[in-house]
Amino acid sequence: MTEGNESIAGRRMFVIGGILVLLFLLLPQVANLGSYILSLLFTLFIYIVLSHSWNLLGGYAGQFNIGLAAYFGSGVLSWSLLYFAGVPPYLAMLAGGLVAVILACVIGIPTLRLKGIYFAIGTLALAEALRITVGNLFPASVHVPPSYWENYSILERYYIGFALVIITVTVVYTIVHSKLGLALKAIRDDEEAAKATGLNPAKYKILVFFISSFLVGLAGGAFSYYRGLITPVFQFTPDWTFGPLLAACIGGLGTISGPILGSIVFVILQEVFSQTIGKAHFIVTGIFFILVVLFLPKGLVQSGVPLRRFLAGLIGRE
Amino acid sequence: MVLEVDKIDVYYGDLKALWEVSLIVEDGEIVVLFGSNGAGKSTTLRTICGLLRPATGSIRFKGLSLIEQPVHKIAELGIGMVPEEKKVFRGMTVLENLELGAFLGSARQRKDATMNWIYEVFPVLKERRKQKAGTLSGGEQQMLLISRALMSQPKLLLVDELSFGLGPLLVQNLFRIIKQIHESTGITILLVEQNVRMALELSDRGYIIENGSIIGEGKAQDFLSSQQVQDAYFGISSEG
Amino acid sequence: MAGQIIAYGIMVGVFYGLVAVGLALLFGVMRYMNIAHGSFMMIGGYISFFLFTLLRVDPFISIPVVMLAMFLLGIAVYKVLFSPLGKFPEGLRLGTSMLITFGLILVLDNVCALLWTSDPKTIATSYSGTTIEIYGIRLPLARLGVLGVTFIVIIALHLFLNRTYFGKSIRATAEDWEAASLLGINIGRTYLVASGISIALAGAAGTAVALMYSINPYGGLEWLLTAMVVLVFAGLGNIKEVFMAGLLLGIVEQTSVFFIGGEFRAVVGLVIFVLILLFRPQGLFRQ
Repeated sequence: MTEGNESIAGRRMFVIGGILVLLFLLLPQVANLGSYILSLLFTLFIYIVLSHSWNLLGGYAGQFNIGLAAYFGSGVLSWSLLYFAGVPPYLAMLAGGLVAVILACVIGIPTLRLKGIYFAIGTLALAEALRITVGNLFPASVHVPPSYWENYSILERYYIGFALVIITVTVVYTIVHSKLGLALKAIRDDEEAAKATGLNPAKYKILVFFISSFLVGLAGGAFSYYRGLITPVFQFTPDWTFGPLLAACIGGLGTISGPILGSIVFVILQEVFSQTIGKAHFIVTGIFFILVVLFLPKGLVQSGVPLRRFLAGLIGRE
Repeated sequence: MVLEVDKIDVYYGDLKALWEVSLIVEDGEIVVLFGSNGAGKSTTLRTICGLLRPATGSIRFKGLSLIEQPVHKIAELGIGMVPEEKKVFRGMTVLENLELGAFLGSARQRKDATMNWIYEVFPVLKERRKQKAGTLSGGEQQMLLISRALMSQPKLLLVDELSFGLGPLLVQNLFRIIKQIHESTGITILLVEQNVRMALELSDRGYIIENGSIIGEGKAQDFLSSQQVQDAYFGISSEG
Repeated sequence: MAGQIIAYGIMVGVFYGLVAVGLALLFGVMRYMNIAHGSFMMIGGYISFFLFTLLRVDPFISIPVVMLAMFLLGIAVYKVLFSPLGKFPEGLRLGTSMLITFGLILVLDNVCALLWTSDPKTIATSYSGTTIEIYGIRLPLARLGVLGVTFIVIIALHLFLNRTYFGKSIRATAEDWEAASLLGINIGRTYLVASGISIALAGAAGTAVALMYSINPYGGLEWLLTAMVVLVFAGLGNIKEVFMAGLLLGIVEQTSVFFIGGEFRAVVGLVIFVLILLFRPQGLFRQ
C-alpha cells in the first residue's frame, strides 16, 4: 500500500466512523427506538468492548486469554456489591475496572509466564476455578430493591455502552498506532526474536493485560448497571469469553473493524435464536468459526491477520 | 532400468531446491549421489520415496510412475529407505522395530526368516533385541535402520547419509556389510553420501550434484582416479 | 479415615485415567488436541442414558455399544475435520486442531441442549446407591464396577498396542510418522483408527459419568479440564503414564476434599494444574 492509498483509506475510515458515531449519538434523540432496540444495541456495545479487549491481547499481542470471563464477572460482581452498598453507579463501574486489574495482578500475571497454548489453558483453568469459587461463595442472586426499576433509564445505559465503545476503540486505535503497538506486533510475530532486539516482552504483555482487563471490568460494571438483577456465577461462565473470542476471530483478528463486525454478526445470531432452547446461536457461530478457521483464516473483514500467524505462536515455537 | 528420475524440480515452499535433476539406476547396480552439504542429495532421495513431491518431471520405478503415489504405496512397490538422522522408533524395542520393517503383507510372512538373516549380518542386534532402540549407540541405531529397511526385502534400497555422525572404523564396517548384502542378494542400491571415497569404492556408478543440479556422471572407478574429484570431495569427513 | 480417602482416591483417580486416555492417545498419535473431548464424553453418556431409560439396558452392558457408536462417530469426525487439517503446515496443526475442536464444542454442546434440554441426567440403576463395606471402608458398587471396566480397558489397550501389528504401527506412527510411512504404514488409516478409538474411549468414560455423576450438555468442559490436568501431570505425549497420573490426581483431590470440603474439589485440581504448568510443564513422570 502506498502512502497515498493508506491515507485515503485511513481518512475514509475516519469519515465513516465519524458518521456512525453521530448516527448512534443522535438516533435515539430523533427516533423513538423503544427499549427492545436500545437493549439490543447495548448488548452489542458490550460485546464490542469485550471483543476488542480480547482482541487487544489476543489479536495484537498474540496471547490468547480464554479466561476473559473472570474479569468480566469480577466487574459485574464488584459493581453490584458496591452499588447496593451505596456507591454511585459510575464510580462503581470504575471500581469494577480496577477490581479486574487487581484480579489480573493475582491470576493474570503469573500465567503470562506461560507460552502459547499453555497460557490459553492456564487462563481457562484459573477462570474456571474462580467461577466455581464464586458459585460457592455467592450462590444467590443479588437483591435489587424496587426503587431501582422505578428510576431505570434504558437510554442512559445505551449512552454509557456507546461511551464505552468509543473509549475502547480509541484506546485500541491509539495503542496500535503507537510504539506500544509496534512492540506488540513484534512480540506476536516472534517473541524470541523480539527479546533478542532488546525488547522486554513481559513488560508489554503485562501492560496490555492490565488495559484489556480494565476495559473488560468496566464493561462488566456497565452490564451490571444494565441488568440490575444478576446471579454472580453466571457472569463468570466461559460463554462470556467464547462469544467475544469468536466475534474477534470471525470478524478478523488484529483489526479495528473486525471485532465490531464479528460482534454484530454474533449478537444478531444470538437474537435470531433467542427463542429456541439453549444457546442455539452458538451452533451456527461454532460452524461459522470452524469454516473460518479452515477456509477464511483472515476473517470476514479479509484484512485481518491470518489465524495461521497465531497458531505458530500458540504452540510456543516448538 | 529399475529407477528413472527425469528432470525433476523440487521446491521447499517458495525456495527451489532441485533443478531438472535426472538420474538412472539399473537393476543390481550400486549408484552413489554425492556433492557438498546442502547440494540437494537428501532432497532427491526424499522426493523419490514420496516424502516430497516434484513440481515438474517424472520418477519411474520399473516403469511405474511414483509421483502421484503416497509414501506408503511407494514402500509397498518395493522401495526401502534408510533415512538420515536417528529415525529408529526410540521407545520401541529392537525386535519391534524390525517387526515393523516387515509390516507389509508378504514380508510379514517371511518375517522370521528375514530376521534370522539380519541377526547373522548384525549379531549385535540379536543381542540387544529386547532393548529399547533409543538406548542403542549411534552405530547400532544405524545398523537397526538398515536392517529395518531390509526387513521388507525391497527391490531398491535408498540410503541417506549412512556415515553421518559415525566414526571411520564403524563406517568402514558398515560399508563392508552393505557390500556383502549386495553380493548375496543382488539388491539395487542408490546411496547418498558425504564420505565420497568409501562410497565410490563400493559403487558401480556415480552422480555429482551441486546447488540442486546434476553436474557430473560417470563410472565410480573414473571418479576415484579423477584428481578433480579427489581434491573437491575426498577428505570430507562426516560432520558431527 | 485415611483408608477411606485413599480408597476413594484410587477409585476416582483410576477413572480419571480412563477419562484422559482417549485424549492422550489422540494427542500422542496425531499431535492434535481435541478440546471437544469432554463433549464427546457427554454424547456417550447420553447414548447410554437413553439405552437405559428407553430399553432398560444396564450401563455396564451398554458400554460396548456406546464404544462402537462413538468409534464410528470418531471416524466421521476424522473424515470431516481432522483429515482436512493435514493440509495445514505441520507447525500449525496443533493450534488449528484446538481452534476447530473449540468450534466443535459449541456445536456439539448446543445441539445436545437443543435435543435434550440442559437438565442434568443421571442413570439411576438399582445398585446406584449401594455400597459394600470392607474393613470399615465404604466402596460404592457403581464405582467398583467402573474400576473394573477401567482395568479391562487398560489391559485391552495394552494388548492392542503391544501385541498386535496394527497396534504397534500406531505406536510407531506416534513416534515418527515419516519413518512409519517409509515402512509401508498407511498413516491416514492409522490416524482414522486412532481417532475412532479416542472417541470410543471418551464415550466409555461418558457412560461412567452418567452413572456415577450426571451429564448435561455443557458438562464436557469441566471433564476436558480434568483430562488436561491428567495429561499435563503425565507429560504430554505419554499414554501409559496417564493412569498413574490420574491416580495421583484422584488421591490429591480426595485428600484436599477432606480439608476444605467438596465444593472446592475441582478448584484444587485446577490450581495445582496451573502450578505444574508454571514449574514443571514436562509432567511429573519421566518419558
